[in-house]
Amino acid sequence: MVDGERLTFRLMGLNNQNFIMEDEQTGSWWQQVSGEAVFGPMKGKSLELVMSDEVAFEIWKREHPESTVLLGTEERPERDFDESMERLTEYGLPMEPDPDDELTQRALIIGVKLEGQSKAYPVDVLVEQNPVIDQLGGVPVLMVVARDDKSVRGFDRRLEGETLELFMKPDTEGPLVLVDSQTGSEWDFSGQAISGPMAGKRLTKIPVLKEFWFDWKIYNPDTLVFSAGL
Amino acid sequence: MRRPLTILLVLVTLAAVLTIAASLKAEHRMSPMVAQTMDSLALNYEFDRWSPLWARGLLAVGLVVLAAAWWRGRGEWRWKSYLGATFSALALAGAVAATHVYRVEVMLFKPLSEIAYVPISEYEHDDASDGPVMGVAIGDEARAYPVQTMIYHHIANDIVGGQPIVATY
Repeated sequence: MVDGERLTFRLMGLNNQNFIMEDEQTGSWWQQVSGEAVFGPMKGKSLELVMSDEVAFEIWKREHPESTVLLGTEERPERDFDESMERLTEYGLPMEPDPDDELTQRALIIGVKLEGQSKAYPVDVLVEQNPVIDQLGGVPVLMVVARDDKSVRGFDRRLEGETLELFMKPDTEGPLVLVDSQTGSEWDFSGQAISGPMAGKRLTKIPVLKEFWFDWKIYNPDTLVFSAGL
Repeated sequence: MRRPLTILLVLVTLAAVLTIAASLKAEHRMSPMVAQTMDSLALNYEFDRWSPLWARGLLAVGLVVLAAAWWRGRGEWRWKSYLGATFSALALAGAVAATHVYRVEVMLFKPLSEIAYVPISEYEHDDASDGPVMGVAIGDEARAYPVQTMIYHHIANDIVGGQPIVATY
């Protein structure tokens, strides 16, 4: 929805592996990554970002048992998911690697943008240090990876005037459990406190985007990179 | 008598050559890994606005007809006949280049013709082939978009919790 008008989109083309879509109502072209109209009558307008997750099917099912699942309308090619991902990486890259980069161009990162600041969290660093507590744009953030080492979520660590520091509860079976050192409450992967003084409370999710490093850098040239051991 | 026809032919040829050039340029936007500047994208956008497929088709057909008329009239000069044939070939190449762009688009991207979904408990999920899901929860409605399905369709215009959204991958 933009300015009270409901738009529907179709794919127009690809640029740096990030696509341009066209709305059928005004014919404007929109950049996928930013949701911003780059050409046409809507130029300069932005789509509002809807909070979304990219998580394992089982996690979503556990948290949203009432959810529905989109069906493809045409026969989707039978293909292994990892194979699909590999096919994506077979394309050449749009630019030469930057020698100053500590990350490879195809490194998977979690991109976060808050208060005008962007930061890339390499997935393997997040997995290793899970969870990561950090600051971005003045916001205390928490980055946490689920047991599958793939599903990542980000949260604002501020709740009811407190800034929480969270750690992994060791030796737990099943889904991961975090503990905060301020109240000793226990938290699950959805950001909800499951026991302790904070029980029932929820951390606010922040938008995260799983991306290749090179692509994130194109659209966020001033991005910071989170590095291990800080 | 012949002169206006010749001038017209030259103009249409020029237009056809431009069309071919622009078509080939426009094809670049289909190439996933070609870095494009905002300028070249702007050119694509303008090209797309001003030359829908029917206009390009018409141009190509018109060129062939004109070239044929010109060729017949100037049959006495053989080299001009060859020139006429070249124009026709150019026109055909232009038409092919122009339609090619659109065909690639339809071939690569299968748009969802309708949004259909099932309760998550009934969805047959195969972790190896489906991969993760993109999940959206608005109000009391939650929807999961399997990434594998989205890699194939890329765009889903949907309504979740009463709010129109577009899910993209």
